[in-house]
Amino acid sequence: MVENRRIRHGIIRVLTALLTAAGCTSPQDGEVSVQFGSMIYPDYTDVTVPVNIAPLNFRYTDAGMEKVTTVFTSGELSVTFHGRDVQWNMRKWRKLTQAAAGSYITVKSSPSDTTWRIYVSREPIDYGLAYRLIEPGYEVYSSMGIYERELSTFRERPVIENTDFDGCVNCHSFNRCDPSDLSLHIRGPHGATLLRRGGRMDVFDTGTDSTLGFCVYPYWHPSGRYIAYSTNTTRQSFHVRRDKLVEVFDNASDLQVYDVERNTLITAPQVKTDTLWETFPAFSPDGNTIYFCRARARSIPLEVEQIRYDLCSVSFDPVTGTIGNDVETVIDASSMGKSISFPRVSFDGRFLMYTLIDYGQFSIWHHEADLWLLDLSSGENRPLDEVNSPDTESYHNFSSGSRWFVFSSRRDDGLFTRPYIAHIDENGIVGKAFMLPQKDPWNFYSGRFLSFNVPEFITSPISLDRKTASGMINAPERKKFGFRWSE
Amino acid sequence: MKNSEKIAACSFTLLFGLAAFLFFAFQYPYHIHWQEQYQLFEYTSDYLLDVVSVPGGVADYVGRFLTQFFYYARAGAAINALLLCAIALSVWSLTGRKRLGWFVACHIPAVLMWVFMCDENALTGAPVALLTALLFASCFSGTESSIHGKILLPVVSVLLYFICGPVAVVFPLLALCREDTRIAVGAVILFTLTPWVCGYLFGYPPGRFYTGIHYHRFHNVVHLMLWLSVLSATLIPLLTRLLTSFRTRNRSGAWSGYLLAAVFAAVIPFAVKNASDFVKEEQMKYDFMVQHRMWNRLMMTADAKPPRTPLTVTCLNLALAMSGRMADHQFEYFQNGPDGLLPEFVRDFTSPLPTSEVYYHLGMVNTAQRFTFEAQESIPDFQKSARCYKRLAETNYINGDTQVCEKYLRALRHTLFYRRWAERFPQGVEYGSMAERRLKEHDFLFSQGEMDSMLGLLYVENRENAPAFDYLLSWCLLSKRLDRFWECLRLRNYEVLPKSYQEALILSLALREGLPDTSPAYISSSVYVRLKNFLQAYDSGRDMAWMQKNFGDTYWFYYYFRYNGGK
Repeated sequence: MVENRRIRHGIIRVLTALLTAAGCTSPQDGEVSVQFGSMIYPDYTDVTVPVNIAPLNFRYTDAGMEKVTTVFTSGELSVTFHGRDVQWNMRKWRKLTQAAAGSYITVKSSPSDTTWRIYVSREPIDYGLAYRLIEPGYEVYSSMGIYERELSTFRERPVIENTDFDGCVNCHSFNRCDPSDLSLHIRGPHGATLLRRGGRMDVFDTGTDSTLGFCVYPYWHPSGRYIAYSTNTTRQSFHVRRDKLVEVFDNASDLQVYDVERNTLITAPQVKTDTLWETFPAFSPDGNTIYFCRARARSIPLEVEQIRYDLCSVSFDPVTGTIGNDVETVIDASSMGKSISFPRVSFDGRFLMYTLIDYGQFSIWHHEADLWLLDLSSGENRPLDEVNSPDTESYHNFSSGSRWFVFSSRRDDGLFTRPYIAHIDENGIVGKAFMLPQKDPWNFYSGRFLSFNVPEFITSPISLDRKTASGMINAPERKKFGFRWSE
Repeated sequence: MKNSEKIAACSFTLLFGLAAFLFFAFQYPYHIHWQEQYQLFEYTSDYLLDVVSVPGGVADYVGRFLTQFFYYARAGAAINALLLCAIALSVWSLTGRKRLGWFVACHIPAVLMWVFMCDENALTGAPVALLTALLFASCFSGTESSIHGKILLPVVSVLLYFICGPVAVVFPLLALCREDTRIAVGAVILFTLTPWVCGYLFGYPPGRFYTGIHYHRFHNVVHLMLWLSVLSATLIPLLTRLLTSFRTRNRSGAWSGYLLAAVFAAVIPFAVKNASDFVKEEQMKYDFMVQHRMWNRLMMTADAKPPRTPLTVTCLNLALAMSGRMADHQFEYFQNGPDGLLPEFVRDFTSPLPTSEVYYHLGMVNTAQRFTFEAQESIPDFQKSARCYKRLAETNYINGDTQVCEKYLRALRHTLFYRRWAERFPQGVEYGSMAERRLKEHDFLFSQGEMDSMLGLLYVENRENAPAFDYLLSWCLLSKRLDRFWECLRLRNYEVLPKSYQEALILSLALREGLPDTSPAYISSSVYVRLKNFLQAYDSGRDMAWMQKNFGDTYWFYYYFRYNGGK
């Protein structure tokens, strides 16, 4: 059985390689040397971008490139820049990308006469990204908040910041990229979970007597009626070795599903065990399966490096709110000496993307963390070498149309997390990722001491009534969750 | 005012300014340095926009600009003194009364502001904001009857709110005593409504727009002295105008002025001393000396006045270790247990910094980085710290994270006083030896309870790391774990054991097997005899004061009379 699967995967890989070589996909056509890519910041050589993306401004970083000339050509349209900074006029950029949609823009950098391409996909990207901006620190946080960024422009707006209240915001989650369904977690003296559904906003104390504590990692059911949560008792410790700083781990964790309509938290013994830790739930697009990560409980902190999470799944009946009895192991990562975090299923149901690390679950502090892709129709499971780097690739999610995915990476300097976006077609062929464009990316990224945490696509502005939300957070009143066991 | 009164008035302000300068320069210099290290003033447009984009931001920006000069304590003292004098003279310019008594009274807001500035978390933006509002009011006086003045009054009131924050309330209030009170009342109402509107425009709770965002490092602190200063700066000019009908003779006015000046001379030292915290000043001094590696000066300070607070003891212990005097002299000073050696992490922005210095010098680079980072993140008004940026550049460089290091250096290059350091980095600093000190072969998760294991590994991996070994043995001694001390002492060979170690060894021997009849070879006879006397005195029930007087410099005294956590 296993052998058959391997052969099948092998055939798929060969076919994929043949398709790529035959030019059926664009990204490999005009590859330039890696060295040249490292001379411009951000490296936009041979990337695939959506037709409605903001201009790809960049800078030649190598000394002696002050007098470089850059010519962008698509069909008969041509735009020329002189100097090390390429900063687009929005109108010209739009014209060029519209002309190149479904094809590519040829870029010629002289005097080195290096030619490279920007592939322009006809498939548009969602309205924007939502992320948390915070200094990549240890336990204490300074100024931080949740922000949204319009992807077709450079506009960034705060959604909520901790100047509004004393605390920290995290774990923002939307239903299939639609921000009208919103879950937001607040830690600190005003700890709460803020939920918005159907225009109604409530603030909850999500801890119950029957669960471990507060709900932490959320994932919306496609119907909007349920939210899968894990409850984690998270701790962190600090390495003394040079190449490692922080180790975040759970002492315990369980899974539950919150019924929004009945204000009830539902769990089942098979996902709430003392000997196993369950975390990072994610619903399948049809809403009938919950994917999650599960590890054997270990002695903490002595056995931190032995904690390994497998990818598991359990069925879910959205009509009755029942969690299935049988937990299936989808990927047995622990037997490979690896650990899985952040399973995310594309909204067309075809792919499951996850992060693979050596141990543990908090992949952002693991330099070896890479993205992997499981093809749910063929069973092929492979590393996403097209987008992985020698440094950390961690949190990720798909766009509402499933043709784009965003992920966080520390490849830039090893510490500050940046969002990258990549194209994935219906066959699982992935283009080169591009860093979130900025008006003046060199100064923006070098001057910003903040990490982009948990980047999520949004289909429209979040439009959170900030004053009302912060007023509710600052008020002492919290609604309580009810609780029931799954039948 | 007559000439004699004018001379007296000038002399009074000069003396007032001189007193303020002398106080900040010589009594409170480390508060000045302390203020400077909790900000990072960058000469960039992004920084400017970031600061001025909230109400009161312009005054805050000017305050931060001035605070960067606090790098030199005397420059900071001069700036503070000038600000206080300028506030006094601005109030005077608004009175319209030419009496010495009123002139002296105009210094009341400045005195109250001085008291406010004795708080280490009072920000320079506050006096700048008040001064700016007073200067505007001064420029505006006389234009109130003109049509331009009437139109501009409400507009400038709102504008001043955005420049100075709520302290600018003095501007519309002072307009109340002018001819057209309807416009002034309108300006006051408009000014009062502005913070309410700001509550919808900016990301702060509405209440903060009424109390000010950047007057004090802690947002939720509404400092009484600041607002009394604002109130008096409003009331004094108002009173002078209201009392214009009560004319007094020149002579009595002059004498009342001299009398008031005398009262001021008596009250100011009392008020300022009462508001000052010299315990904190001492702690800041120790922290400053550690930061600048003034080990000898630190020990001279400790000799003059032995440190007693946990933070100063931590600094002293580091100085002892770095100058190689810990093993012989540590117990000559007050010790408060292992926490005085390596304090536990506290979530604030002050105490982790000296502790991070200790870890840095021991070679625990990651821990030093963590403590520095956390201290910076804990700064209540969300500013960054030049001192922390420097240390983070260093720790990242030692760790080989050169790109992150470069990020910090790039920010420091945008400052006035740290640019040169950042440009020369890493020249002239011992980063090679620091990199050697850190652990290379072993890894573990930091644990305060296993400090002896961590310090031991540091020494085992690098035998040149003498401070780590001193700290290891000191940790055992301060924890009163003499068995562990025995084990650790064997890691290193000594020709002659340091005094504290001899004292600990012979005590350990005496506790286990009783005091030997003769002194062992590795214990000097004087130490042996002294312990014999100590034990006799202890057994005879001598009180602690007597024991401290005769044996206060020994480990035995610490063992029997200090720190009960280990027993």
